[in-house]
Amino acid sequence: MTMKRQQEGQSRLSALVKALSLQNMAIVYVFIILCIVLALSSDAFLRPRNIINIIRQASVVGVLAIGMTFLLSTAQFDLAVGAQAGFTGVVILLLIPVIGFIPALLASLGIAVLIGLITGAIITKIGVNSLVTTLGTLSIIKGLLLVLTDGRILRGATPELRWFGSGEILSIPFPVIAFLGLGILGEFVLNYTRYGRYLLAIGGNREASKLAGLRVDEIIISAFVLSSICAAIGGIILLGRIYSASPLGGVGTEFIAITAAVLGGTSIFGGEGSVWKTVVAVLLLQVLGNGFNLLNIGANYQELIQGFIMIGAVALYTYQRRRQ
Amino acid sequence: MSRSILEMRRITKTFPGVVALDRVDLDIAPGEVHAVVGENGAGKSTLMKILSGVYERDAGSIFLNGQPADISAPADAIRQGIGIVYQDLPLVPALTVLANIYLGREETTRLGRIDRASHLTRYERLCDSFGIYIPPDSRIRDLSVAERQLVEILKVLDRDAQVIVMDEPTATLDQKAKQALFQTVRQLQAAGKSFIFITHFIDEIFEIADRVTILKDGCRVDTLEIDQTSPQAVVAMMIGHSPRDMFPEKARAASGAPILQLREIGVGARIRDFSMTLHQGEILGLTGLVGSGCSDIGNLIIGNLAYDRGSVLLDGEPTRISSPYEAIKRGICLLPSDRKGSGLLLDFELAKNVSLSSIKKISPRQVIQFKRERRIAADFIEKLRIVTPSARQRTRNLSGGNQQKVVLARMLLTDARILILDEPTQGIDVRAKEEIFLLMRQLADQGKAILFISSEFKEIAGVADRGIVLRNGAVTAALERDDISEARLVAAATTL
Repeated sequence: MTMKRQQEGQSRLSALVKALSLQNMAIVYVFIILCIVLALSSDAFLRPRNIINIIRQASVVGVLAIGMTFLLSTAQFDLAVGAQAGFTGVVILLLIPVIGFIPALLASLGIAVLIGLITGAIITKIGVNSLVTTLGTLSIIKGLLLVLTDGRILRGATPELRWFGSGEILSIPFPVIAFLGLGILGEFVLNYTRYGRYLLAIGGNREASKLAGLRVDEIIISAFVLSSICAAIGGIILLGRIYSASPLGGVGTEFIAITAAVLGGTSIFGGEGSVWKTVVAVLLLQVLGNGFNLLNIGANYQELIQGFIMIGAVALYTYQRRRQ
Repeated sequence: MSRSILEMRRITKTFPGVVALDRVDLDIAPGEVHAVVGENGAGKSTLMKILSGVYERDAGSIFLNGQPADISAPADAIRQGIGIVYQDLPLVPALTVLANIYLGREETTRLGRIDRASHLTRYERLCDSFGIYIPPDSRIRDLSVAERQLVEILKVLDRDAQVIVMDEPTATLDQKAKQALFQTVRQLQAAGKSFIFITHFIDEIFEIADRVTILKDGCRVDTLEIDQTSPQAVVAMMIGHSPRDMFPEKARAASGAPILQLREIGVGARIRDFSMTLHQGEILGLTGLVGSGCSDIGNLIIGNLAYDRGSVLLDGEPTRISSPYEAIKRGICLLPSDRKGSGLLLDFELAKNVSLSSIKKISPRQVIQFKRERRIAADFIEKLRIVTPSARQRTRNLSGGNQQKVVLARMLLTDARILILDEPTQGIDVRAKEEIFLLMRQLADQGKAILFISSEFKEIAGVADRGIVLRNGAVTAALERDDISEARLVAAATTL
């Protein structure tokens, strides 16, 4: 009995060692090191104002990345979420004069659900892969953006909208609350609930999950819907921050979202996912940009460095997995 | 005896916490078929991975033709005349036979075009010299498993392999294809090629091998001339105790009420007029050669394959089950034949694999009760004697037999009344087989209805209460309690 307990203790210790290993936590360690370096080289970095700012700036991409983490966990992804965020803004601005503020918000979320349902259904029921399907939906949504805006920037946001960009609860801006709140909720759902287990199982082995009695198609579709709703929430925050909707708004952020999810250790082959590490990765990318500004390197280098970090991190994960 | 073509001496390999091989010797004579047998985890695969350069050995040496050989990468092994025919046949399905054989080693004309004519001449010369022929322009995906295997053999022969390692070559072959393969092996043997046969089928060794090396727990037990030993003796050395009868006693009483009936089911041309009745408390065997349609029956019962004719009755009520989800809800569960492809989540820990079909039961509210999940897994580890360091072990790291027990545990946890086991003993060792058969009988005695699908006639004869034989999608025999025997099953499956 005591031996068993000892073994259990040992396995718990080894589980902890494994959880904190470089392989599992690389992104977190890099983030911490980067923060220390920036804190040492610039007084401004650790000021609460600056920290809040960083999180706020990261919030739109962050919310998208959280949705993407859910999708990647099932071994799917969606290239249209960035455009969809911009599309949400346009829809709201066009609808407010017609049906009013709250109905316009609800309608935009309803449209997001619909887009998720359709995308998911094409992928699961017809069997087109997610790269091709979402390249298609990306093009459609971008096209709709141009048609609906006639290529111009739409203004006419109501003051209520601004609250989603800069409103505060207990002096914390709404985007920060939405981003971190969804992060905590997402981490809980993905790794501590039945639904999350289903997502990860399907990503790990779709056929086995089906035979084990999971409703695979429906669950995958639901992940697309969730990701789509996240895109809409991101779009609402974006609209609240920049107060206008441009035909190109949001386009391109899907790549940062995918980058962040992958950096956070979510496998593009599914089966593994961590929302909190996605949040860390989003912040890492944002801090990088912020650091460049503080150190006067210029933000132009951000994408360049981002690319190297992405490949470096994935190479590390892959290498360590292969060694196992 | 003539000089060895290959000698592995005192090969040792350790993995963290395990000695996988402990000073193992193996020597292969020219033109010899040498079988290597052992339970799962005995070290067969590790030994072959060292020979093929996939793993590096910790200690020991390898000699080829008496010369020390340096094998530290797969390319070294190929260059030095060691050819491996893998169980999962790594060929490109969309390419032709010719393209696969010369893949990565294409000869080109001066303009850089692939020199088809030269490949073809070479291929035909190769085929002629070994008496094997597969049309060079067939695409791999259109070939049978047996034909693909020959392509693999041709591939290693083209690279001038002297020693050909075959890993479970007969596992997916039916009787006829197996005999054809053995014929080919004998031809090649006559041409001076040596074979290392890794297998679980002890009977086959006595058909094809000259000598057999028995491994157990990473050590070599013995190497014997085949005509100086017997299957019983080999099995005894493998499992370390004298083999009892492998099969549990069959049910004495007649089985209970009919629970699942299939009536004149048809699926295109694949399944024709299939009828069966499964009773409570019985093990019904369903057998046939590979490709006879047995797996289709399992899949259509659980709604994973649509049927277009006939009807299914559950407890006497006409029923249409259209997905595995529904099947499990109604108490029907399938153990798929492809354990790794469609049974397990290899990167999930054991406990999560066990709970997969029953998460709702373990965690009635959305939040997962991890402790309960692991406790349930621990119960099954004990009950089914799964060998694992803990319930949190990744299933990828378990041996085949233990992996199969994990999938079984998942089924049992669902409390299904009808269990469909499709090739439950494929690729697992003798002792695990014995345990699984015993478990099946205990479950039947508890009142479960079991449909046991297998292409191992001996296992069906030994375990099932009644047997149905399929051939090309049609029933050729339905054997009752007293009629069931291996000979009858084989006859019904292979002859018209």
